[in-house]
Amino acid sequence: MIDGGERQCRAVRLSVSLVAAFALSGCVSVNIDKSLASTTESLAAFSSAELILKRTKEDKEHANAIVEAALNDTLDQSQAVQVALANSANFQALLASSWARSAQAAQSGRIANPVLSLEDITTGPERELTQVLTIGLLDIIRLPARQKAAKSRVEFAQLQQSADVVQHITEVRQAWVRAISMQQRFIVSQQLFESAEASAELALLMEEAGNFNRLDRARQQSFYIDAATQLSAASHSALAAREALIRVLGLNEEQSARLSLPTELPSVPDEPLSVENVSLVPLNDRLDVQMASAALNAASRAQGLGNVFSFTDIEIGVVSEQIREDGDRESGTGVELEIVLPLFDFGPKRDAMNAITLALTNTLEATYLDAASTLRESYSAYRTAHATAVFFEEEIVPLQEIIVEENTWQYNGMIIGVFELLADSRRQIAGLISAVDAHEQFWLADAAIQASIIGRPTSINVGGAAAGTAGGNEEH
Amino acid sequence: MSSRRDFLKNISIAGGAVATSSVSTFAMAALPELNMQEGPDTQISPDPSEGRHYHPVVTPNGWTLPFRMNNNIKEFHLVAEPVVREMAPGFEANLWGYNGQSPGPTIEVVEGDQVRIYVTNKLPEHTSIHWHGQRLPNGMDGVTGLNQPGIPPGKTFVYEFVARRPGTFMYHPHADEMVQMAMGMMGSWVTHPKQHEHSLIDHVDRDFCVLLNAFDINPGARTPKIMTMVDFNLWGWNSRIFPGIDSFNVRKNDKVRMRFGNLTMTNHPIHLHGHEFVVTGTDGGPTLKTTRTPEVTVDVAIGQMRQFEFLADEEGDWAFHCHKSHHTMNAMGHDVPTLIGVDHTGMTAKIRKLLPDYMVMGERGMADMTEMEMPLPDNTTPMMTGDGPFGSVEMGGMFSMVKVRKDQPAGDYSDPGWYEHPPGTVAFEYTGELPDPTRFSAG
Ligand SMILES: [Cu+2]
Repeated sequence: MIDGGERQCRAVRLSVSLVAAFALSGCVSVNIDKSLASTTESLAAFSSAELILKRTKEDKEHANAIVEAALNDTLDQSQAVQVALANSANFQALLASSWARSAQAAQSGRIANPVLSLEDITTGPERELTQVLTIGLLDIIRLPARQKAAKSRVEFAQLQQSADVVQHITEVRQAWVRAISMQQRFIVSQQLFESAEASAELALLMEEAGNFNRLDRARQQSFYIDAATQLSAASHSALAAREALIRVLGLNEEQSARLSLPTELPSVPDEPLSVENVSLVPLNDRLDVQMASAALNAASRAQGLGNVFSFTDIEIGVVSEQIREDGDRESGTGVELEIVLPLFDFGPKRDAMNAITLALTNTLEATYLDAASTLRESYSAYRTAHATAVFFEEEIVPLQEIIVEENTWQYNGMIIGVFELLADSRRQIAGLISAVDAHEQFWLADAAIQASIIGRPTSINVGGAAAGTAGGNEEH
Repeated sequence: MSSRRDFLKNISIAGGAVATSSVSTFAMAALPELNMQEGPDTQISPDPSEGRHYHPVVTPNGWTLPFRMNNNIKEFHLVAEPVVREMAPGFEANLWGYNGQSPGPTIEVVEGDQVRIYVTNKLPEHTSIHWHGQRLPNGMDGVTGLNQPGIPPGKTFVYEFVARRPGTFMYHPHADEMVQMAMGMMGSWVTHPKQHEHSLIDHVDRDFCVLLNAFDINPGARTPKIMTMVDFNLWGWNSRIFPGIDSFNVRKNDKVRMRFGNLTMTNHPIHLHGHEFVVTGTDGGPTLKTTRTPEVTVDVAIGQMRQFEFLADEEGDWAFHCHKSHHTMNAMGHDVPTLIGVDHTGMTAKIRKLLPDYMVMGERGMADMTEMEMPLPDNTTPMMTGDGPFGSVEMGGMFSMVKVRKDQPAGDYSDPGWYEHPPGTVAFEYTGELPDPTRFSAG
């Protein structure tokens, strides 16, 4: 390049985007709408939600309409997903970044933008004007191969985009589940509290009437204090889970106020997903496998190039010089060819490419193996959660109803007293928390298995302690 | 009085099974016919058609076991077996008993009778019968391991002894005794005096025989808790609880005898309203007439029998019960707190949110329970219940009535219904002014 040296120099470098001019036929390009449509299509079995990247006024209005309609009603899980996709700024950022990645990937398959350099050098009475338009020569030479590599990168970016969408939707689904289950726990804790409060109030009346001593009264009140503590913890957990959902939906304050969720999680389906359902997506179509395979493809193509060209960096420049001397005008045109041969780079760079390919080959193999294994694990988690939730619905909840009914009858028959009746009601209510746990675990596992099936495994703790079951071991 | 003539008569009644007296009694003895009882109704036995004559007792909600005479031996057949006993209408218990019911049938013999009892064991474990209070050979006393081996399941043992002294006795297992008695295995035994005119044993018009028993059955369950030592929740007369115990129905001016045996683990002060009685017998036999003083309550201690008599000369429906007030209650909780004086109606709404069927009870006392019709656990008799002519009797357990009527026919034990009080003889409400109370002021 022309160096201004110690001369007084006013240099302006313009990067001229002449993509259209230099685009050759077959060049890799990114159309974000097509890309989103492609992702939507590839995720059809996972989610039917519409992907919107809001760029225009129309996009925004469309997205707002979706959010408005959804918020006017109780938000079910699929609506939550749709709202998040249309509304969440984080998700918009995610799509935009993905677009950027795709664009960069596509860019790598084009000739680097020509660089036009303008120099205006004044040395004493001389004023030298230089215009240099530079394009990489090898860029052109190796364009077809680079286009192939770029295609791989674009493919990879597309897969990455799908994976990110799956991840995001899974997060929304699980946040929706937690927001409801935490609210359910809060309601149950409220019932526990009310029962303990009733015992405590009654105990005070008993003490006033002389029927209880201080110890009896204090015992009943201690249950009340436990329940109150538990209630405030449950209240915060419910709020936190709701806020987490609000964040993932990207709701503003006004929208948050309107957010209405179901009061309880749906019943678990009678028929859980079968092994056939779960293995519906062929291993090769899984996102993780496709990504690993695309990464390998891209690398091996890059390596194919690397053997010949990658160690070279050649620039070709077209120089046009204009020299003015006292108004006279001279002009001449020449060609500057600059070839940089970083021979010292040869070995390490090729080795590095080989190593990357080797690594990616192994990564692909590991992905295959992990895919099968994690699918088995998350399916087991799913089926376990399903069985537990069904057990609660069909066995434990009816049992608890029997206990409450029988206890009331025992109370009617003066076989147990009101304090025992209330204490037992608290034990049964605490049991409801376990039922909520079971349902929550199922729906979290359901979201996880959906992601796992399509090839974006999400970790989930099945049987992990949830908000806790207090009130269960008071008395006796 | 036993005689050669009686002996021959008995042989002929036995159906000619015995040709000569030289044949071994065991070889001759096919088992006596097995008599069973299906339900809890009081069965009135006719006078005996063979053997020495006696006036049978009445076992309320029970029966007397028929016998046969075999070679001048009075033969009975008891079968120890699981039974279902209706302890009160709507409440059935899985008990162990004899011949279809608990308690077992009353055995009635006459002083001097040679008695042979076949005992077949249809229980899942061995058993035996101890003949509480009897004079008998030591090997017939029925203590498993001590006097005999236990009767294995499916086997039949024979007890044989002479009823040596008149009186009221009991019989019960002496094998896994606590469990088998907790399950209801017991029966009464009456040995009538040989002489019709006995110096200490008077003739009576009505003679009742009751076994006191206790069970612990969780409300809603059917089988007693066999390991209960103290906290029994059902107090029975002949394995019945009020309102399931038949009333003692007598004719005015009948001389009435009550025989109460106690096979529970606590004492029972048995109290009769409206009359005085005298204790005429204990486990040891008739009391001396000089010791007989008027009483209205007699304590029947653990393992004891008390026999008392009175002249039923006051008409009416007279309460007759154990005087331990919790023994005249059915199953109840002992930890139910006292709510008297605790007005918590304001809290009902709060409690109903959790327990929609909750009813406020007990803040005025427990009588609320008899006024509200509330669902109870299945197979459970309310703690306090029983419909009387003036409302709920609010009783349970060891409670019944002696109903004295001038028009009750002799030999008729049927329930005459509620007493019709002569006008002006029922407590009535005072409707005049209530003066302010004058209280004594000290200092
Ligand atoms: Cu008693």
